[in-house]
Amino acid sequence: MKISSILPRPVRRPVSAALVGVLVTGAAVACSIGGTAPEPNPDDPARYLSGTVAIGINPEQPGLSEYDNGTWTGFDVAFAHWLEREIGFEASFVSIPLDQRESRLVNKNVKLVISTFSITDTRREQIDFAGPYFLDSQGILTQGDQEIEDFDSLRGKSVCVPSGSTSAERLREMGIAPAEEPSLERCVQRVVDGEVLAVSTDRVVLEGAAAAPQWAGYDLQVPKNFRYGRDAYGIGLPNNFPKTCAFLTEKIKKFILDEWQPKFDQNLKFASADDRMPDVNGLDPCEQPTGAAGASTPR
Amino acid sequence: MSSATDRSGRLRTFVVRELKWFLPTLLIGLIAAVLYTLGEERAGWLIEILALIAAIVTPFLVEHLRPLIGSRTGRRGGPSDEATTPQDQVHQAGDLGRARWIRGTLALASLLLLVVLLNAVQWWHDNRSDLHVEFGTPTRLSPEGSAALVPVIDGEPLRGSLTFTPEIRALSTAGNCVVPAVLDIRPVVDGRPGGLVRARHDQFVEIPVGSDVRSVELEITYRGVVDPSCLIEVTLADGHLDR
Repeated sequence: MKISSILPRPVRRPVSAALVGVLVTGAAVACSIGGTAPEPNPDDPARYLSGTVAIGINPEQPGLSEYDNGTWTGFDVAFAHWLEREIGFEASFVSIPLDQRESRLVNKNVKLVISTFSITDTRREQIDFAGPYFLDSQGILTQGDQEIEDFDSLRGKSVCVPSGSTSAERLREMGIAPAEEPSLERCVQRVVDGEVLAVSTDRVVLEGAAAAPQWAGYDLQVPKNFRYGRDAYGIGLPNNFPKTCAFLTEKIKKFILDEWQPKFDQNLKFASADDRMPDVNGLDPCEQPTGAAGASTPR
Repeated sequence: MSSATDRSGRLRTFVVRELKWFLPTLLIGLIAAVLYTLGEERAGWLIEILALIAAIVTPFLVEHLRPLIGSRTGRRGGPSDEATTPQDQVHQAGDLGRARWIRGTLALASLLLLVVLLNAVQWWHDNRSDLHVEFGTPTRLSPEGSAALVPVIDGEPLRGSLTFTPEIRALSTAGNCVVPAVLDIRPVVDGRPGGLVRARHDQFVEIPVGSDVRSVELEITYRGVVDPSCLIEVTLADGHLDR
């Protein structure tokens, strides 16, 4: 039976028009709701750290992250693999230069960066960090004993730093203009060639370079007493990811308590673990988006 | 006899009609004014919400009450159709005189009430309202470094809680100096050190200082960072003394 047949003739047309109007409006509303449906919040660790997770990592950090014959090795690599097993995702390592660690996160080319990534206030303006999972300080690498014990010995001398490391900024703050090279290897080569007096970057990286087989026989040294600043390596995340940051911070605590020392011993035999393991109670709080600050607690 | 009863009845009706709306409205308005003057944020919101509701509802009320008001207007002002005899006209003139007297008395009472309430507001403002607090220029600190800050409080007496939000700015470019920073803040009230309050960047802080206090000082220590090269600038922003 047609609906129109149950209506009196005079009201059929207006009722039909009204029904059509209601249907058209309803369809339009449904479409508009569907079209503007908010995307799910990307800061959901269960979703963000599932499936294949692209992890940005530099392949030229001896003892920390190296790529050779299709295999990744090093402390940072071991840490990333531990996270992979602990959380249950599939890690996909993406080789990135040191000076692209922030931009790759900002551009969403990678989901995480685990690559001797020092946490700094400047970097926090563009990205978030979970951590730290490793502590270090800055040092220098020279060929032979150059009797360099402090910064005054470096003034007026040529110092090379890998681009994208915090060393360049720290040296500039101290009035020393460094020469920058795109990789650690290039800097070490310049020391070996006698073009620069020293390389400056994180001590653990320099100790790794000095112990690397490719530089054996060049008498590369990392003066023990020359150290400045304090670097804290964190996991790089996109900006405004407080939930994922908090989730990873808890994992880092577990890693430090259970796995940090064995992983250090396996991968960084040339270095000392002294002062490099973070205190699990002293990890950085996760940055909250602006306006979401909490209240302090009187003790 | 009956006309005297009518007169007193009409008067009672008039008084009830005038006072029923006038006094509560006046009272609510004055309370709202007091709260608003005190600058209480929640009170401000409440008043704004009520004002919005009133603004929406009033036109509807006026529209729906108009017939009712209109039906009463005949009994409000001058002689109506009911006043047909000279005696009634005399009585109505008497009612009119009484109504004027009552209106005058109400106006005077309102004025007096207003004066009293304004004085109460002034007293409340002087003794109980929040005071603005300045902490001077930003303070530079290195790790484990301390500084004493003497807040400049805009008024007296000092009582309640000192509130502010620390804002930390790194002066060094390479360090991790702001987010892990912990500010240990110890209030010194009238020379006596109080309990330690732990604060972070951009976190609201509330420190009770007690009542009838003469002086307040804050000792701030920069802790929580592992980088000795950190140098920060601390500003205590949005300072208030909540009394």
